[in-house]
Amino acid sequence: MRAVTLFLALLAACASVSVDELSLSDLQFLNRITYGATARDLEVYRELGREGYLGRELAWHGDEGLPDEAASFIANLPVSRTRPQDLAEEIKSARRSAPGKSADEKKEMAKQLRQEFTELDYQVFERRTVRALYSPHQLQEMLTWFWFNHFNVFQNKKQVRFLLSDYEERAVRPHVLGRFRDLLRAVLMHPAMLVYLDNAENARDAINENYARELMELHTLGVNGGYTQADVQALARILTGAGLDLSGRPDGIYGAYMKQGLFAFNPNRHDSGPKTFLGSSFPGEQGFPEIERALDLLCRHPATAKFIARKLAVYFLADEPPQETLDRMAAAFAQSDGDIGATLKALFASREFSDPAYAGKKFKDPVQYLHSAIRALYPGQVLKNFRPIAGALAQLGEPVYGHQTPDGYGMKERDWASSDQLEKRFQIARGFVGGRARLFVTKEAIDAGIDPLRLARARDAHPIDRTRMEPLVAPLLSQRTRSTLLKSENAEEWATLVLSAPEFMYR
Amino acid sequence: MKRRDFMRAAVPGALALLNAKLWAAGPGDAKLLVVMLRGAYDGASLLVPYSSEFYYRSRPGIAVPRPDSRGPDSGVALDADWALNPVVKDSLHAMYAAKQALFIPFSGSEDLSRSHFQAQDLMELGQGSGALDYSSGYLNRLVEALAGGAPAGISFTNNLTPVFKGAIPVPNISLRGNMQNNLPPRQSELIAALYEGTALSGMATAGIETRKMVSGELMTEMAESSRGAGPARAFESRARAMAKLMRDRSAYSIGFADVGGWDTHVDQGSAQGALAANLAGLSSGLAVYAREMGALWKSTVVVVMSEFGRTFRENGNRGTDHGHGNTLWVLGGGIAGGRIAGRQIAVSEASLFQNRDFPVLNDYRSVLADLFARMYGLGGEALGRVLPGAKAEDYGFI
Repeated sequence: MRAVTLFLALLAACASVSVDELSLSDLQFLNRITYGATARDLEVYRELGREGYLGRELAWHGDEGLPDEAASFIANLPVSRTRPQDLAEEIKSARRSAPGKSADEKKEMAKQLRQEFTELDYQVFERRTVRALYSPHQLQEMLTWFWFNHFNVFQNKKQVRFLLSDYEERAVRPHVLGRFRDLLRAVLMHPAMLVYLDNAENARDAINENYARELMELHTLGVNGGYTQADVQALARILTGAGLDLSGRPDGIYGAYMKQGLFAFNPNRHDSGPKTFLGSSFPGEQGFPEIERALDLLCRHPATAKFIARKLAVYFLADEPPQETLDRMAAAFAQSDGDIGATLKALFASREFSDPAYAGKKFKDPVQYLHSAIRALYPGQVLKNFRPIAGALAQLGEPVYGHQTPDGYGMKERDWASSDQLEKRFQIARGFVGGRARLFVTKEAIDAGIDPLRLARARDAHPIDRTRMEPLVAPLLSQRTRSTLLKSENAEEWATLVLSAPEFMYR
Repeated sequence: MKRRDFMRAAVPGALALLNAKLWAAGPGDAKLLVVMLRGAYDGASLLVPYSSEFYYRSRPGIAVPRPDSRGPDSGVALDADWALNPVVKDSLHAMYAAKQALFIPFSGSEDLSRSHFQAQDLMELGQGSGALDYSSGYLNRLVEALAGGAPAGISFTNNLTPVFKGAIPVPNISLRGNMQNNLPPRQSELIAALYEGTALSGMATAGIETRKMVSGELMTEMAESSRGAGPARAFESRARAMAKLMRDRSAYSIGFADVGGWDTHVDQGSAQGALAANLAGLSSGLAVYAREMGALWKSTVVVVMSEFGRTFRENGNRGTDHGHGNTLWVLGGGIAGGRIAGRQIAVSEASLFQNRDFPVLNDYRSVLADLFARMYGLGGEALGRVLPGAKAEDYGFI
């Protein structure tokens, strides 16, 4: 009996170690720049080679290549057709109609608006998740998460809830592989950030330091980047007047007043006195160009190159990246005047990134864990119900758009590895396998009452396909894990154990 | 306001000897809960320096009214200088009146970055001199130092935060969301086998064991306590569960919890508003915790602190920005409460740190060192390993 078991273990080991002609290191490479490599990713990679694949993924593709089902899911989301201006109008018209209404009617109206915005924000999550799970251009989707997290806003702060969709779609996402300064400027000129970090309230004679401090500490220079409390105060003054305009009048320049979308620079709220910021003197009386100049100083500051290089390297390479890699990345950032693609290229093409010593050592955050689980179990099968994922994210401590503070979620093992986290992942893995029917029946159908026949059909339509899954995970597993897996009684138990295994917690 | 200085002369070695005797329940029964208020709560809106003219001048829109102003919003006087925010009248103030609560204003850490995130880590690591070595936090080192008596830690957080990082594996349990245990025993065993001999092995088995142990009782508990409860009561239901676990399980003798939502840059309010609601929820939650601890409350200590304080002056938006010193709370059934403790200074423009913040006169590490000495009889070298270089001070906890 023991001999048979041993023989089977050896057979499993031999059969699965090679992923066709691709090596384990190729698989590990792909697993770090995707939310878990699928057979299709491997196919493209095999065709283009590492350099070709990298070249393709370091360019922006938008929704190109998204499977039809995923693309139409996004197109059919009401949030895809909703502009923040329209939502602002909706709030204003609700306010205008308020005076003639009773207290109960007003309460009901506010409740309806709140529900509408909650539903829209859930759709923003669905849109992001559909892309993350099904886009062939995985890197840009990981970077959308990364940069949103870098410039985190919290959906439950004031008006952020109706600005969220536009913030992710237009301020963050188009710039994730572009120039850092464009990204920083788009964020600065987006009302979501201005509301979230209170700059909408920052005005001459009513200074609020919140955004100024975090802009340096978290967005550019880093906490030890060499700025002082006086710089925080100077930047706060420079930023006075950058706020919101919900008036609905056309965009344009009205004297020194500038309106663009819901953003406005209001010279009457701006502190036009002289300032000294990061050692440079600002003569004052310049209005918005002062902000542009401050952005130049921040983006070209050597501390920013180092800070951004480190953060990217921590996300993709290691909790403590080697100094050599960081130096090369920071140099690429500085030489390219803050080109994110060039900075990433310096990382992905580095010797360290292909060094087995760094492979499979990054502990997945909950987003990476859940996405890689779904991609391993149901590649290319577009989910009908994303609520179990939203729920699992909240359970694991990484609710979408739900991080209250501007630092964003942590990206290191110490931020996520804990007894409670692992135990919840085991429970969730079991649910994703055994309770999969709920992933493939719409939430409306579930809310309307579960039709057991329909659930059974959904279950049968999405079986656990061990032969498809095995080549993508088996090469990553240790001998111990493989021999424990031999004890599994069926494909479902096997898959649950794979998703619970220590190797699957890392990428 | 008169200048006062309540510090007693401190002789660390002698203190440690004295302590074990002074703590009536004996160190074995001691329970400790540390609550971290993330985001820097505004201590001046909780413990109000109402005898200071400067306080009212600096905060025209957000000061808590003087106790003698007779309105429903007026502060509740503790002595000639300090008052509590009226929202904590039935909870924190009642504990203070029963001599089970004391406050240490002008306290905090050496942090000068005014960065929430750096200051929180620094405070949780507790290594002193600005050190940020993530290999161990002070509560883990405390558990390690006490390992002979076998008290252990439990973190009531979503993930393990720096305070409990270290050599001793400490489980965490978030007390939020689903407490159900759906893993059949067979699967738990296979999963444990997957982890055998790996770096995550301790965590995986602790996770499975903790869930098995507490799932059933907490499911009932949380369902009962959250019945009809709004979000403002969220901390109360967590506090009830924390008390239940710490009361019933001797292994859970050192707990840590965190509460967010204190970064009030805009419209913080005074006796009403967002901050007051948070203070009320926290304080009533801790009153529930005290009650639920039952007979053990007399040997329980709760410490509440925040990474730094807020600017003394109100900012341009009826809020406050990042500051320095703050007010730390110590609660417990057996402490010498009903006092304002630690070094103090008159609250005036001249006494502000960098002309903007409360100064730090009482290092939080010296407060903890004094507490640990008295609760556990820890002294000398052992205490030095838990809180390296912390100054020996006597806050008169007992």
